Amino acid sequence: MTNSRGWSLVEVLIVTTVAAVAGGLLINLMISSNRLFFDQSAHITQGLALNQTELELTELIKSSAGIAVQYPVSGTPQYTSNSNTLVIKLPSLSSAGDVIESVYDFAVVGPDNVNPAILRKQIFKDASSFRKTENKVLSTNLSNLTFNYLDSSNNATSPALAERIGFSIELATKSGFSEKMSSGSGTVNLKNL
Amino acid sequence: MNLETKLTQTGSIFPLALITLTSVLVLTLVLVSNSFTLKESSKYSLDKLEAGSLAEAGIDKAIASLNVNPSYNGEPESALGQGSYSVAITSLDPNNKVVEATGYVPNKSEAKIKQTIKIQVSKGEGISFPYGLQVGEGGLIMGNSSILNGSVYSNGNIAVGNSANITGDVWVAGGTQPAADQSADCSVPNCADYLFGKSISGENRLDVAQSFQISQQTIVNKVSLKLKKFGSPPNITVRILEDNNNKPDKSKVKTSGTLSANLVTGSYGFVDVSFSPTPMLNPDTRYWIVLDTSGDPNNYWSFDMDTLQGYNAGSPKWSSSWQASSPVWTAISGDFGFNVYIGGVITKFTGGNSAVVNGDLRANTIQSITVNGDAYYQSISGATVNGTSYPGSIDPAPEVFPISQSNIDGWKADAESAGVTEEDLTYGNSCNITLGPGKQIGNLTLGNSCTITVTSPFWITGNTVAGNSLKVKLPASAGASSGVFIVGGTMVIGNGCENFDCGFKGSGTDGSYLMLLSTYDSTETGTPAITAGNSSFSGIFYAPKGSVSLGNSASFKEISAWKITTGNSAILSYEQGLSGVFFSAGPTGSFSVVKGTYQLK
Repeated sequence: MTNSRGWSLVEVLIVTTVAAVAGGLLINLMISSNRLFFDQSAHITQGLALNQTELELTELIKSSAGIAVQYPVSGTPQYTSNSNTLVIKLPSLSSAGDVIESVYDFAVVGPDNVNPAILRKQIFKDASSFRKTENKVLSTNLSNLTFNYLDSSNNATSPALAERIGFSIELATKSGFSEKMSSGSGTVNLKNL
Repeated sequence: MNLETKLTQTGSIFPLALITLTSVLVLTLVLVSNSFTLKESSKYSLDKLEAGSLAEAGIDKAIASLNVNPSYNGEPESALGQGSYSVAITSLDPNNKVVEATGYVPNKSEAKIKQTIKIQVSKGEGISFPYGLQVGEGGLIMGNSSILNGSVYSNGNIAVGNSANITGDVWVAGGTQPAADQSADCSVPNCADYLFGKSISGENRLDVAQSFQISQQTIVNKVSLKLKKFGSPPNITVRILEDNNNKPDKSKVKTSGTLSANLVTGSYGFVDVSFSPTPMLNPDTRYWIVLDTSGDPNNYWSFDMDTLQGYNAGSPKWSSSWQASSPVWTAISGDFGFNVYIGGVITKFTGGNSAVVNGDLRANTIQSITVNGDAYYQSISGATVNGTSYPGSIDPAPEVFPISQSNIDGWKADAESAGVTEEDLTYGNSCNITLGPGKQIGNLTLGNSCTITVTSPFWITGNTVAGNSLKVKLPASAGASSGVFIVGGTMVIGNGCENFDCGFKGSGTDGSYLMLLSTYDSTETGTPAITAGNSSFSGIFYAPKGSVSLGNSASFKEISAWKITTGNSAILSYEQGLSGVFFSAGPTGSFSVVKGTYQLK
């Protein structure tokens, strides 16, 4: 004999409610997990870009033979040293990697001319130099970049007279309705002055 | 539908839970993995910077070691902090070496990160010329309608003719009495070294002091101290302190100045220290000159000390810290070699009709000039100030010249040790000769358009007369180093050339200069030490006791002289301040970094 007794209305309601709550919690968990993932991924990506940028900037400034007012040094400037672009004079290198006296390559670090969210490092070499040319994107999320030109007493001075460079970088990424920011800063002495 | 059937039906919550948990797990794992990547990246950045710092420590160690032991040839690995460094030295010649230092994290054999720094060091002396035109107590005299394009610092009076024009700022320092008001020195055999700036026999002699009293109430413009150095100690801060119970009173500092280590050599010599502000001191009152060093066992100082204690108005003491809460000062038996120079000599800037200073003008007394900037003075007459007037301003402090007598003696000694010859040298027009290194006893006469290649240091003891278009240069092998051409007698040079093509030139490498150094004393004879014709002259003219007489339209790189005079309608132009001119044959005999050679590899 089969049991033909069905679910009571109360049982059905309880099961439905439990299922709805459990489902809602699971969907909420998935959404939260995704949001956390994208938020943290943005921070991590920014952190990696910041590390790389700060390291490359530090090495460039340390090795530089001075800050150039503009590049090219004569004629119409393509790049000018100012509060958000840095034009660095680098000693040219021979095939043996030694400094060639009185010959210079140039590095430009600053926002891309077309898309200011792109932070770009470019190296332009003298014809006699064996330094590698570069055109490298350091970040695609640049929000703010500031260079401060300082003398040995940390007073503000013109780029041509700078003995130390202070820099601050802010990267920003859209994450849903919010914006994630990461920032870094430093001050580096020009070792070749 | 029966109950059994219902119990075995598949629900939708479980798959949903499975998908959600799997998704969360995957995302979490990816996030954790990325976090590790970021952590590794950050650690790499920090380790890279640390490796760079270790390499710089290796460079510092190498320079310090070379200055103690010139045959030091590096070290395979030395542990420091969280890592280690190695140093390799390559000798280019006895005075020039390449130092390559590599920093490792955590060590050389298991290096995860390494960074190499390569520099060149050279045995010599770096000297800065902060002013394009620096004039001593002899002052500056400019003829009518003459123009100075730039600024000038003068320890003596400045007088300019009618319609003269100075485009930059002008400083006329308060005058200094020519003879020292207080003085102590020793005579052999009653001289002894008093080492300080390090621990000696358990005495931590970081700070030393000498007391003195001046003869009248007046300002003290400068002191000179008889010192020599060992290794390459940094500059010293020199202070004048009031007395408290026969020791320096740390809470009553009257003034301070900087003793430039570059001016001190390995042999004793008096080195000037000027003070800003210049302090007003009272007579018959004890004051202290206090030298405050940082302490370094390899780089330290020595005072030349009079063991007979011939100075009766004061005595020396030492302390481990003059700024300690209760400083302990211990008496020293002897007197340090020193001079105290007082001021009280009124100096002035005198103009003429329609004469103009376009920048600021600072002088005790200002007469007959239009100042387009601000004017700082005690007294003013017949002047128009278009900027702001500051009556009652303190006189500017006298500026110490950038090269000391010790430096000059060192170059002379180097020249002498390179060889001494005795004969007058005479060459005709268009001569092309080489001179030096060495000391030449005699006179030098050159025709027009001569080209001389000088290996530094070269010292001609007599007079030099040269025709027009003289070119004196360093050999290309001097590289970025600078050199010195010493003239003991007077020097007369004909007209120069356009565009700095004539005069005294370096090796052709940027930063290389040839300095014409005249040791002739014009203060006694009144005869100019250096007389130059018209047009432009490259190079550095330096005559600490000599006057320089310039023709019309004179352009130059840098002049420091006891006195400078120009003719009428002269145009003086110069390059603003030369910093770090590096002489290959330096008097100190210490190694230091050749600027521009720092390379990260």
